[in-house]
Amino acid sequence: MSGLPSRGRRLWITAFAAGLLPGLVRAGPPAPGLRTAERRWLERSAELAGEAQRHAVATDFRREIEAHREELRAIVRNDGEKTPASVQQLHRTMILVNALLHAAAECHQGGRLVCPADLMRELVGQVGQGFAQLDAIEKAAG
Amino acid sequence: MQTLESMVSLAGGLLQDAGFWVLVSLAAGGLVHEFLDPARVQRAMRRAGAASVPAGMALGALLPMCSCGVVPLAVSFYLGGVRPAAVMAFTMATPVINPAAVVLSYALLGPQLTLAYVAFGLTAPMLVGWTTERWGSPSMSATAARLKSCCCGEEPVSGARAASPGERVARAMRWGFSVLGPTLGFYIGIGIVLAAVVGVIAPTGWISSHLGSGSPLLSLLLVALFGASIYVCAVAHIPLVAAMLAAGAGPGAAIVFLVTGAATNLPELIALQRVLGTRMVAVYLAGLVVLSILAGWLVNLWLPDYRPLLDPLSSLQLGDVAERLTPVIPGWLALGSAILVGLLCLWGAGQWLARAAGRLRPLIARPM
Repeated sequence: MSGLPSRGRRLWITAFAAGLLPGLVRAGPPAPGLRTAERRWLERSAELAGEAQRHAVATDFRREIEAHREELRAIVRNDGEKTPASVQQLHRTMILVNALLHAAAECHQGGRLVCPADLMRELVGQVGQGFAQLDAIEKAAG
Repeated sequence: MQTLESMVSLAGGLLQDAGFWVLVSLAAGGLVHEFLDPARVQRAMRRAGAASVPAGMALGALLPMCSCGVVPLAVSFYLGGVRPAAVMAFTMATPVINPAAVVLSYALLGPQLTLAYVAFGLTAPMLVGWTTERWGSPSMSATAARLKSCCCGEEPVSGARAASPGERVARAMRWGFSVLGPTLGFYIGIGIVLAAVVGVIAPTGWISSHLGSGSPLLSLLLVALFGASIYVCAVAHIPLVAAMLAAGAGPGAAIVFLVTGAATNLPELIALQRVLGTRMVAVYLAGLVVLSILAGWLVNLWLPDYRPLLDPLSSLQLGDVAERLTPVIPGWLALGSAILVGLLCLWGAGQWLARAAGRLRPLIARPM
């Protein structure tokens, strides 16, 4: 399991996730329709699901989930209210992924995560669903 | 070997989930036993009439306990003279409905399904309570009689100094932890072992497959029976149910799983059966299963192809509120409580063995 991000690093991650600083890591402006923040968030979700499966330390995992949730809030807020239905659907899937990660954080024994198989299957399934929705949105935007 | 390891691990997890609330409930049960005068309670019940059942349900809906934790307090109410309908309504409402579960359900399952969940969660405990009282023929089981008679010798004799509040609280804790604790702990322990066996033996993905099964009534029945036997905490399982709903499960089955799963489980049923009697617990379980199937069927009719469509930002904010409403038990406290409850289970097992040996001794000693 990776170490805990410091407050500064977490802010940095959040800023990236919110799409505030994508220009700093790209040579040019981002292609229109590309949803980098969402992709990064889903990739991190897949990592966290892997950590849950590898019996991560519960307290550290819970803190990471909290930070992950704040990143999601920034993404949703940054998109504003007039978001297309497909993007809203993606955001709903991401909220569900976050809720499942929270539920995973509650399943611990002796300080380490032990997740029920049903929960892990739904978690992996929803992350996959999120990627599929994201691909469809980016493809439609050209 | 791996199966045994999984069972021990699951049983340990259940003990950690329920342990803290079992201890809280034992302390509260002790206070109820010490301070609630059965004669006055029965007079109050007669005055309150049918209103005592919604009162029991309302008290349960405000407490954040899961179904194992509620048993000692419910048993104390029963021994204290509270009418069975109110006790059963309290027992069912406590784990099913609480503020955190309702808010999280709104955030993830949407307004319509939450309305169905709350409506069912509030009416079912009362209906099950009345059904249990009407057909359950409450009688004093041997375990209930033993619990009730115990410690009566400590009542102050006339003319003696009345016990101070501190002494009464100490007496309440003594009864809660040294009389009620081992007696119920033993049966809760047996239930936890059985629940762990069911949890490990049930095939992976069973819940997912039956929540979305093609045969609605059979699916509802299987989900109700499975939910009633395993340990489900409403708050922790709402995300799982929401994910299954998003993957195509029927909304009726989702409600049935949430309510029957949270309302009862094997440890609770076994402990209640020992105190309230087999018939009463059988009527309680049958009422719960039949009502939940009816509710699931009605929800399927009302909301075919239901998918929650909530504004994402509101959903996140409601999720935060639900989290603030959920009491967080620190890991060390959960572990410590689990160890204490485990010790109470062993103490209860020792008492049971001693009683069994006492019953066998005359048979062995009888001359041939």
